[in-house]
Amino acid sequence: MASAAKSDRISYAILTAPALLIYGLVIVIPVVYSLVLSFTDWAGAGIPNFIGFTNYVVMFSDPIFWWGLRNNGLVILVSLIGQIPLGFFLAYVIYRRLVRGAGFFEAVIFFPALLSPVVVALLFGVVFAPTGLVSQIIGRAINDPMFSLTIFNSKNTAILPYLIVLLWMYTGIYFIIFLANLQKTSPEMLEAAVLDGANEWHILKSLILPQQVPVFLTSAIYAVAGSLKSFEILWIMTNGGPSYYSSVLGLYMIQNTFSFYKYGFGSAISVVLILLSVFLILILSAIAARFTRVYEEGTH
Amino acid sequence: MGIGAAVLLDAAEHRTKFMNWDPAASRYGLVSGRRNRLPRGITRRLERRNLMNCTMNSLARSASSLLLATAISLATTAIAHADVTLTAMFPFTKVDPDYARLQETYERFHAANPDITINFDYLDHDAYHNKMQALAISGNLPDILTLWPGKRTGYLTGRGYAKDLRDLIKRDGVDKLLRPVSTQAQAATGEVYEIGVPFVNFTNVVYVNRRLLNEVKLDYPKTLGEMIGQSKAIRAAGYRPAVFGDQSSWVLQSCLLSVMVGRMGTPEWFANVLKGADGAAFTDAPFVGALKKIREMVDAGFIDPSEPSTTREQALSAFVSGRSVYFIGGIWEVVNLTSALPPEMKADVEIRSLPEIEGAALANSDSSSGQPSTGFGMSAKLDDEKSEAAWKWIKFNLDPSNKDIDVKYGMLPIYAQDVGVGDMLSDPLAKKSYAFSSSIVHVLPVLDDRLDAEGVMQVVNAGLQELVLGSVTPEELAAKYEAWVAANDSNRKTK
Repeated sequence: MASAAKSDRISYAILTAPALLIYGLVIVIPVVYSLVLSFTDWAGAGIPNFIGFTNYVVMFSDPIFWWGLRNNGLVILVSLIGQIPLGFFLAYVIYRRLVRGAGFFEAVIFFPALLSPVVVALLFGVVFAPTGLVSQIIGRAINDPMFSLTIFNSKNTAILPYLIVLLWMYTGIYFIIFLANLQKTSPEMLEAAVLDGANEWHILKSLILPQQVPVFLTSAIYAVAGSLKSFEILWIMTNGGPSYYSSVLGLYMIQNTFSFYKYGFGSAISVVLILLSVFLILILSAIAARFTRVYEEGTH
Repeated sequence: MGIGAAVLLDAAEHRTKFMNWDPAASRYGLVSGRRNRLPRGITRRLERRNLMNCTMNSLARSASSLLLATAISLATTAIAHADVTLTAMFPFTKVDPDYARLQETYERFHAANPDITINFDYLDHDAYHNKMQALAISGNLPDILTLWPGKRTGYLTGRGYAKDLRDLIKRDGVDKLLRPVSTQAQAATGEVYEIGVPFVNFTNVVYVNRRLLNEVKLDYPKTLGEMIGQSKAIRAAGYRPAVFGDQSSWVLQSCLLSVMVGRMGTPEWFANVLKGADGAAFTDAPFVGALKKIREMVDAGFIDPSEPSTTREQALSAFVSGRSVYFIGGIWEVVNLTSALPPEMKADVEIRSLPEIEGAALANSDSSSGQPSTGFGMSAKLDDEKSEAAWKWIKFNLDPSNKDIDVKYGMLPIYAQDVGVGDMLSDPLAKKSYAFSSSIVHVLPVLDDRLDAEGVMQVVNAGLQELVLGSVTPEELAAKYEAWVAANDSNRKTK
């Protein structure tokens, strides 16, 4: 018995070693390296000087950091309470055949997710530009050829076009994830529920949603991680502007690291982003666990 | 004594030695007096063989001497006319028009200087800067460097990696050939590290749609006040007064604020404010006054609040499609306009400098902000021979007789004297562009060329957008920038 267990352990070690090695090389080492760099003033060349927590102090006293964090929060909110619920709702409607032409809608909803973020950024950059499509349409509607969209002129609303783009582009991803998981639901169970007199709300609340809790959790983790690291669309659409009104932490990190050669400072921002991701994912896991318990208790 | 004479003497000496030598006695270890003790036949054979050996030996020694002499002769010649091989690195790839220009220039240079070979290496812009930093630290910089006149390559010029060219410039009178801007100080302590094709990147140029201006019955204003005053009439006619597209945030600073600060303050004030000398600060009247003028332009409707959200392409499109009377940009926009404007509209477009600013220290409108083009410098580690070869290459690029190559690739060099560049141009916009460049008497500093990028980008550029949107006052922005410069800018640290 002991020999078999030892043999198993060796097998596990051999099988997992390549993956662990690659994970260590591409994830663990860079993260640890970033953490070390975040305590230095490294400018991309030469020997880094240890400066303690200076980068963190400077970062936490910079209003651009806090505004970027605020915008990141909005992006996460749009993902969690926009993309995921909307993706689920659309998937449910299609799965339950509540509309005709399900195939057409599947393609239309998923299509934006297939586009390159650069193309989407350029496209919506033109759409929301002060002299762009939206301005032209409104200008013609109100008969004012000089009309220009002022959404970017306000510090509070400058991020809105980006949020709209995110909602349009990534809802399709969650739609497909939910649709694939909904299709695993047993038809017999649905049929039995209908025969027992369950209406659509009962089916959704008592049959479908409990099954989808792990999918919501996975989607939420995916959304949080993606929301914190994303900046490419924004970079092309608004460059974080006007001023820093639409900036996010990813963009803040890129600008400091590569425009100002502040690699130590950029590393400090990335460490904060990692910690924020881990913190949010832990919260989400706790929420999902609670929901699972509630559903499990409800079923017994 | 010549090498040939030495060889002849050497041969004669051998011949003499041979004539006095007794081969048989030598072979048999006998003194010459015992020679006749050997049989006659043997003696004769020995004599013949020894004579042959001696002849061969002599020939071999002569040949060796001749070869040695030839080698010495060749080495001497080589020392007198050494071939020099230089390395160079450029911040563009082979698809860049500058690559073709450089190749053509080098072909002509190498034909004129066959003893100088330059091995070129090319890297994309950002990669170039990253690699140069690494090469500098590892002590492997190329011999010829592409340098910026301002802060962009400060990691080389500010740390002693690039050679100061002032002595060479003076020695060969290069400064007399060029306008002062091309050889102006590139560091607070006066060093000049690079000279390129004498082309000035003017950052403030006002492109005018003459047809629209005529349509609203206006003329190009003489003063900035008049220009701002035109806003109402232009807007009433359904046009935008001016576009520039500041989404990337550097445009307003580089293309408008810099010229205004340059005109409102004296050169002495600017030099002082860089170093923080004599109490000069960015909270002084020239800087705050320029910011106030920009705010005035916004209030009057000359600058639209949407400009910070408008891209350069959108601004260019608004001008080209006849929706805006003025387009404010740099001289580089001529290339874009040349390709974007229909031929009939090219005649309608004028290229002007910003009108005179009332009350400015620098009166008139014959000034623009600008900076010399990027150019060539050399590694500080070069020995005299390589340094002279690199300097030859740099001078060759400045030589007016090679201007045809620059013009062919769209660069319009400006010299102290007219060298006939205007006569080589056929495109109407190119002619106007050259006329504009030639008319500028004072080239004023560009802020992001002289001050640290971080402060200009994070405080001035972002602050100007807030100023346009009304979120910050000129005084607040000036105070914020002065605080940043005082605490961080490298100019203040080197005083």
